[in-house]
Amino acid sequence: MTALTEPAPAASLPDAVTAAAPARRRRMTASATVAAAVVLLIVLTALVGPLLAGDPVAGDTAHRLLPAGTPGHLLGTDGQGRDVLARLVDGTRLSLLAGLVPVAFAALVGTGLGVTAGLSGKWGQRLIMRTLDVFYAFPAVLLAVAIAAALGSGLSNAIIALAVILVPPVARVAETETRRLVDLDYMEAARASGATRSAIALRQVLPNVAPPVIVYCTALIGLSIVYAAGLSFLGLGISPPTPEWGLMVSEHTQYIYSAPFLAAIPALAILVASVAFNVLGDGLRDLLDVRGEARA
Amino acid sequence: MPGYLGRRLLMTIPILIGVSIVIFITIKIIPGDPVASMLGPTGSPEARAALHARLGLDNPLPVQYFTWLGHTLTGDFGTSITRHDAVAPIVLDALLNTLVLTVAAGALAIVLGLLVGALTGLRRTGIAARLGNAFALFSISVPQYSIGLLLIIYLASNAGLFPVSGMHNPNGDGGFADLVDHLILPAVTAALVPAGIIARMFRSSVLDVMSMDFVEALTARGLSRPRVMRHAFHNTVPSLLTVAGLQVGYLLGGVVFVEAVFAWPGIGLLVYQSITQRDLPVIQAGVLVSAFAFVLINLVVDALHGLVDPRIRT
Amino acid sequence: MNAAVAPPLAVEDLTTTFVSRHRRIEVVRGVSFTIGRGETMMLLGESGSGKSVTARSIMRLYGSAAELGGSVRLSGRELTGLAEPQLRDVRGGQIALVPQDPTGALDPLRRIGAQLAETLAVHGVERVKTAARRRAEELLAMVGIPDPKRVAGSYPHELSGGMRQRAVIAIAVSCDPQVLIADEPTTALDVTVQAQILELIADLQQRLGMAVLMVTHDVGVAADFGGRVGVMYAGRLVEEGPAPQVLSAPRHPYTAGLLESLPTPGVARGALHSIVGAPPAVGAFPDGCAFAPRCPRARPSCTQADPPLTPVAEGRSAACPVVNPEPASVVA
Repeated sequence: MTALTEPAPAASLPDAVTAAAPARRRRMTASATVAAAVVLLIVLTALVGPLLAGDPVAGDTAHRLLPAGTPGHLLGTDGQGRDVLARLVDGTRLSLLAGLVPVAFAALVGTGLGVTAGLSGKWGQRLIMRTLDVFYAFPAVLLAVAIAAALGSGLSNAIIALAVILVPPVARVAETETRRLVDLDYMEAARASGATRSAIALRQVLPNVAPPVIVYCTALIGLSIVYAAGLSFLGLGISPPTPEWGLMVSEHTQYIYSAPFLAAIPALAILVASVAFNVLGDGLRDLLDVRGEARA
Repeated sequence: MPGYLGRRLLMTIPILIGVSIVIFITIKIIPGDPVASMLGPTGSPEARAALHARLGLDNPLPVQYFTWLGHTLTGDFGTSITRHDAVAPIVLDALLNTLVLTVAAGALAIVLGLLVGALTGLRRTGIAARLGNAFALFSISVPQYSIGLLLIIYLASNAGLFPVSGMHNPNGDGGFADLVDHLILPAVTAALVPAGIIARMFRSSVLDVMSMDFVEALTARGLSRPRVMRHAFHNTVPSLLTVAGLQVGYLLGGVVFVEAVFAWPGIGLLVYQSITQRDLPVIQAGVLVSAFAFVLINLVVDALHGLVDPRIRT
Repeated sequence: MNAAVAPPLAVEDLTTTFVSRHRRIEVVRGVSFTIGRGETMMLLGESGSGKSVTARSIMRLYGSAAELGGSVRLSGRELTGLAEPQLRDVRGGQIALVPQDPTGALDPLRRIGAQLAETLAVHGVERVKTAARRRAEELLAMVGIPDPKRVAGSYPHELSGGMRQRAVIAIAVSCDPQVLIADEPTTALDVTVQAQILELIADLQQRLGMAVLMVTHDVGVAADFGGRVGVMYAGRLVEEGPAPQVLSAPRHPYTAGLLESLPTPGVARGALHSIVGAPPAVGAFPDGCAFAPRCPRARPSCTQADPPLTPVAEGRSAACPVVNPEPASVVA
């Protein structure tokens, strides 16, 4: 499922050839390297950008809806005369945060649940995984909307809602991987040598479960950023006037006929971030040679 | 096959119970006292206590759950806070409209996904394969609300090719052609993400199947290339169905953005409008019926899966 | 070119080179042999020796992924240069394949009977559905399946490995081929059914008069099955001759090493002999005799030129001038 480039076909060659041919050096594809650079740039923007760009909140209604390229307003101004570039740069912080935190939470909780399920007996495993299956019965976004709406709008509530829908797929990946490890011989050996279950979980399972989970979560970040901005777009995220990409899309939608370019700017930022994390996830998967699973 | 279907049906019961519990929890996690907000600041403590008792809020949670479940199962989804009307008919009407959009988008996603997946799976180099891979990558990364807006600006508003919003022309006859005209842009928008995912899955499925031994074995039997390909594609159907089943979830979830942008009168738009008005009964009912629809659609997908793949129906 | 006297399979100087965008890998390097009607040829070698590739190259299964050289004649008919439609008639019709893993060789989503009937229809043997179904059941009975009606209506996953391999063999012999290629037909099976499958192939060979090319890495299988044996190393035949003679008195150091690495019951032996080192990687064959780096009897001259396969005795040949210093004349 590599996205862009791929080495010469192996499928059409007989096993004898592919087995005997010198192993392909695993390294990042060019596209993944570019994606990593973009991700780095986004993170840097989030960290130091606000120091460099102007005030994202101060606006002057006399200079509203200035086109892009206006001196002093590189990307123009929005409906309230606020500098779009400043808002975009400042919004990076919250947009990234709203995308990353749910994934980080899901990575921790999902791995914990998945590994526990994978190491428990039949009933423990069933209890955990069947409970998580319930969440698969929901259209994920709608469940997030329902939770966020119930909790009330606000960034932290949107993050909680997203975390809830991201836990089950991560747990599935971790559980599958754990069970695969349990079937391997060296786990038998660890058990036979008298290691306790928690010792096995810490020393044998976690280090092996981590790579596929990390790869999976990297790919989830793209999705999470889109969803987080989506919740803001629906009015469930940060409250105005604090800038955030999804909120900016929503605000700029009002001027869609007079200044169509305006709505495209934050949308493009979301798209670039999402693509970058997706490509990085693909690159990591190829690099670490782990199997991907269907996205939830 | 009957045994497989029966087991599959039985499995949906605990899932549906779980779904109802989750929805019930979203009602319960609403911060603050619902009675206080219903009565407003003027409500006396006595009035509050009386309403509490009347609404059954003094009962233990399990009792409250079963009371709520009983109402829900009898079609009583509560009353809309803003519309002062029963939620059930509102939500069911909207569900029908959403299903129209979902079916159209789903069909589009499958066709697009299969084309791009087959293209990139069978020919792995060249311009077409690169374009296909790029399409798959961008379409899964794309925020639907933005794409929807772009389509409105350039194809509907500027070029005037399609209507900007709604499901029917208010002055028109509401015929099928009118519906299709209104359907195209939202369906394309909703189909993009699932199309990208189906394309990527189908691509790896094609690669898998084409590297399977039986492709060689069938060639060695003297079967022609098209015949071998027919066997190979037949073998991609099971994994395709699995992915397609999951995509229904994306579609039913994604409609909240698509319908909001295109003012398509479905569950998504209903939920979107209810967010700003904090009309929680409508949101919860909307999510509940969507989840039920999703579970039922997956039941159908699984039945098809059993029909295609003898290995799982034993 | 008389078809009546031409052997069912004659392979001459076959070469197979895999081509990808970045490199060319020569896997089979000049293999020649013939198999007569009802006769058997075993290709014996380790994995990577090119034995399976030789078998598949004969059927021209690699398409554009490989460049083939030399000549393959089927009852006198040259396969090289044949167009795809003609090749399709040949494959499964005159020359059939029994692959290693019966699970992978069958379409998992189709009933056994339907897969048999499809092959019959494609080759124009039985086009009528009911007749094809009857013929399919006959074939299944012929390969020793006790309940052919039930098996014809079964899916591959419903059968045991042995039954599946029998079904694959039934498909292979369905169109009465002159040549049957069996690529490690027992490797994926339980030990208990391996002998039965070999027996079945031998039985069908006798009944149908097929020439059999059997590929194996198992010296035991080669000894059991008999016929002629060709030992392959690094894409070449290094020794060829009647199986009992080759396997009891090898004339090439590699064959000798291969046999010595086997623990032989009843034969007292001080230590288990085996060949040092590993076979060269495909695409990285050394100059001269490819076995020289591992050969206990290698001389400096061995790395200079690759010795050809030369006659060393009645019906036997070997590619080692060290063991057989004066070709053909000494042992006559």
